[in-house]
Amino acid sequence: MKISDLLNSAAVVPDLKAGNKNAVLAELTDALKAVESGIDRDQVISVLLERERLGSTGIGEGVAIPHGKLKKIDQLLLSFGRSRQGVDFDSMDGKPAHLFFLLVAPEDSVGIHLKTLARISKLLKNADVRKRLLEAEGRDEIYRIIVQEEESL
Amino acid sequence: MKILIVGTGQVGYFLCERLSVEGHEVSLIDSNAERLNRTQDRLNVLGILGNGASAEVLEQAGIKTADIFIAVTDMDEVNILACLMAREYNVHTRIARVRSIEYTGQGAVLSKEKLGIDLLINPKDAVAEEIIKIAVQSGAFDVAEFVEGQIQFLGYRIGANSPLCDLSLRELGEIRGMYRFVVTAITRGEKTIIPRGDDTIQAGDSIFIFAHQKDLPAIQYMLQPEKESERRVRRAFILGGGTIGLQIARELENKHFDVRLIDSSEQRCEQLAAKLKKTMVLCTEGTDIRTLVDEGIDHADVFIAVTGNDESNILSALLAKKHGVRRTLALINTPELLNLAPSLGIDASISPRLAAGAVILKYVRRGNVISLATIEGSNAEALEIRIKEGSTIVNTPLVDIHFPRGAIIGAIVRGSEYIIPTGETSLQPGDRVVVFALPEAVTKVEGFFE
Repeated sequence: MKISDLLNSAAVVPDLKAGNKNAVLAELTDALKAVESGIDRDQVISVLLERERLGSTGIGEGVAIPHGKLKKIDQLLLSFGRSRQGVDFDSMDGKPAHLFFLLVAPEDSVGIHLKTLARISKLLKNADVRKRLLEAEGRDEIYRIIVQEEESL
Repeated sequence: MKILIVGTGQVGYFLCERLSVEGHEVSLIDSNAERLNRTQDRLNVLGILGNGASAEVLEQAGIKTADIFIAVTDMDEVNILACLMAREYNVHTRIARVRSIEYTGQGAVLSKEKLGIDLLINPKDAVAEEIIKIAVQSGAFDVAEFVEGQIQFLGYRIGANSPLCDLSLRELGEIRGMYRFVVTAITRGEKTIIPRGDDTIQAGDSIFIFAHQKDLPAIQYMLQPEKESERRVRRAFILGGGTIGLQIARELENKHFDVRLIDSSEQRCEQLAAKLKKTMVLCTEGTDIRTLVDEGIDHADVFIAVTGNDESNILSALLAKKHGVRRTLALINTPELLNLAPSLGIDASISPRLAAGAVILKYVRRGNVISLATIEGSNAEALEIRIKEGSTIVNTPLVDIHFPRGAIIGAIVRGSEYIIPTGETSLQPGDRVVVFALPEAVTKVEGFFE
């Protein structure tokens, strides 16, 4: 499953306002809700928080991929956010996170969930990709970079 | 080393087999000629016929030069007496198997200290502890701990709806930032391999992973095929109210399980009910499926069959599975049946022989190898090694070291740090390294770290 097939450019937030972890999760959930109005905002946030309690999804190098499993959805949902000033996300390397992918998956398709997580991790492991995303002008450019860089994965 | 073993029961045979293969000089004393000859024919051990507590027999077996003495007959008194004799002959390490809790229970009148025995091993305790460990870890079937429990070694059976199906090792490597574990081995059919990046996990596989204790909750969250319904109390059924069943029930009560203990003897059930606080004791047969269904077997997390009868354990575990219990664990004494159980669909089978044998082996092999787990059915091993000061392999990236084929380093613990090694990692003196090795690589691994 390709990131570009899952991510709607309307779910890309070029400048997150949030200043802490909980607020980031809420803001990224709102971005999801913008393209998938049927989801229950509070439920998504609580699923994400529950997952964070088991261990942070901040993987270091300024990247975090909060994710969780949800009962009543039919497909994977994805949103993206960028915070230029950075947010403390309890990451492994202790550094603030700047680039966020939020992923919620139906409970019965955890396999695709993992595959997508792997794809996102791989994409953001590339320092050049991270730099381009941080420097991008706005929503459309961010979206273009993601689509383009995924092609060369 | 020179090792003297008394008794050729299941534990004795297992130890003879493993220790002789590892190149130790093993002498075996048994009073049963037939059993002794059978062992001598199959294994490279020196057999001496006679009583293991007799000075004459012990001398004949070369006790004066023995380094390790292991008494594992089925008589507690013989084992203890034999160990006392061994002390008189100044054998350095003395190990005895005892069944009675008179010696191993808390406040025992005759403790191992008083008896001068280094390790007193009770197979029932060993097997109960093993079962409790497996029951508490949901989804996993083979659990061993390393580095004081920090590093866990787990096996998972991969079902058709497992999230790991069709995932390549490379993909798992990508998500290691969030799910820190290493797949060290995949068992597919009869074959166990150490997987590489292109290998994919398939339905029907068993996989073995190393992970840090603190990363387990996240890993289990992801690997759980279906979600645990909102933190509910886990329900366990235990079949067989013997010492093992009672011990497991007690411990699971402590771990806040909702426990149902089944025994067919009315008298025993009364005793059990008096000894247990919260456990519901059911007086019936393990195959009485109607009662089990009434008691909610279909929503139970685990069914643990620990009667003294292998066939009953297997059969009732299979019945329970058919009626919806999520996992089944069976106590199995017969080695032949032990290998059969997984193919029947029993999630974990535990043998007292292996549980006790593993504890003893671990003790005997102390030194650099400080902890050991044997993977049933394959003879592959997971072992923990401490890197010695002045070792020639330190400060060199692993990619430049000729690490034995058929083995893999799964985790490195350095002080308070935990490292999943890559080719660039180099070892430091004092590191504690957990290694998985296929049978043919075990001795090479030990040699490598010498």
